[in-house]
Amino acid sequence: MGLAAGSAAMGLAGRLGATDLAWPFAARDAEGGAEITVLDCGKACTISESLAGYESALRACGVPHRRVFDATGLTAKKLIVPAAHLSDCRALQRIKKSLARGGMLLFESGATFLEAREFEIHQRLMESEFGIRLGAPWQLWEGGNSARQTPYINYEWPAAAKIRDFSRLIPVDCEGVESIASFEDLTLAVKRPAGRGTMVFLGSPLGPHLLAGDREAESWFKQFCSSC
Amino acid sequence: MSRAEGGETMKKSIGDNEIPKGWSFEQGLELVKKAGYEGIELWLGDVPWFQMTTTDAQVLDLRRKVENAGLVVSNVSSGLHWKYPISARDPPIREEGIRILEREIETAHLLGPDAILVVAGLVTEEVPYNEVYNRCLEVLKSVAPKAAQAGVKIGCENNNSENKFLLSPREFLGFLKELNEPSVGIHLDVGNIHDTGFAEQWIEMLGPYITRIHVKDVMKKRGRCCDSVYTNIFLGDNNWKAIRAALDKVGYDGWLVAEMERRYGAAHDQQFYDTAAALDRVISNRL
Repeated sequence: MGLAAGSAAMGLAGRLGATDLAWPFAARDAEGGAEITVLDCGKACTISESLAGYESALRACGVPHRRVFDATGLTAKKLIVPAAHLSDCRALQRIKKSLARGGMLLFESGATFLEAREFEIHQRLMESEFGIRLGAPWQLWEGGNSARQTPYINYEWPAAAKIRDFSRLIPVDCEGVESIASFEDLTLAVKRPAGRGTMVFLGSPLGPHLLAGDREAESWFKQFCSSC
Repeated sequence: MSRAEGGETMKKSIGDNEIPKGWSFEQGLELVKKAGYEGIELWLGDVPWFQMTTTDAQVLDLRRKVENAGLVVSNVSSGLHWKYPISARDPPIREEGIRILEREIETAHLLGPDAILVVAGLVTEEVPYNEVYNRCLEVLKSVAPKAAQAGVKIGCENNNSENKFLLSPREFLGFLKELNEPSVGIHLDVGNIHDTGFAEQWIEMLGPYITRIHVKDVMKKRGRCCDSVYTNIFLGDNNWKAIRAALDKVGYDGWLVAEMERRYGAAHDQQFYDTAAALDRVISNRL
């Protein structure tokens, strides 16, 4: 079964409650049965490697998980939204609602390679829907002398780790929220209450590094899954 | 406990093959200590006091001299495998290469360090890559138990374009995984990578397999036709901030061993002091 067809089948199974699909990724079938839900935003997932990376890491950790394609009516204990650039505020509101009963949302920004106008939309919506204020993207590797910099972001929560950047950094205003990752004096990831749950926002993609087999990224993600 | 919490910190050493010609071992040890190193790397076959003919009693005497000087042996290395590669087609040459490898293990056990360096494999026009690969696997597999018993790790050095073998970090990692011997890893040289890659990326990918780190800088744009591509730490094209951060990333807290292939033309002892000072900056992350 091809990946796309299999993914579609998984989404279908999620809606119909079907069981025991011939799916090699060991995702659980019954709605709400999976420990972690990964939201595939389709075209709004701007880095497909990221989605693949999270799923790969979840499989490697042996964490029961499922992929869904729509957050409508979703209630998830733990929801991961890889590399998302959702320009539809209703989609973001559906994600927010999934936290109505608590739980943890890991929202990874999909703004890394957006054009200026698209980034402004992303920036506006993240603030209006989640209260997350983003700064202008920072090009880490353009124009400077690479000998003067390191390629690692320092993560502090839930574990200390150095994990590579993904070329462009999206700084986050950490006023009133907990900073959990930074590059020099730029905050790149924060943790904050969202409804009855908690939101972790990543301004630098982690998913691609999970796919690339970065040991420290895998270890960090494992700790994240355990800490939720 | 992490370094940040006051745990283990990296230490620095330098090769005894850097001791100025004509100096005695004891004079060299005194210089190494005065310059601020914690250890010395002993090169089997490269220096008068440490040859294949050096007896066990004489090796123990070397250890005593090192310790009397307030130092320890960081590791045992050898350049003899350039002449006697363990991947040679000619059986007597290969056997000699194996014997050298075994002697490195034996002397490391006597001298104290838990690591040796080997130039594993030499690809030439005559001896092709695949043969070298298979022979290295076979030899290292056969010697690994002896190393494990001696409590010594075999660090295969990345010589990249010098020995034309295991040229990328992924290739090297694949080799070590295929070998699957806990007592065999990589003695990572951050200068030998030249312009074929980036040392910090090698560190990232090979982290848990690193036995020791050779430190030197490299001028990546310099061709290999005329003069050395190597230079003093901070004078070349290595990204030292990234290298240092990569060492933190993988949790490396072992030895940094200076291998200054480009020697000062005069005031040879000064290079020991300058290199030690540069290593201190790397270790303390003041870059």
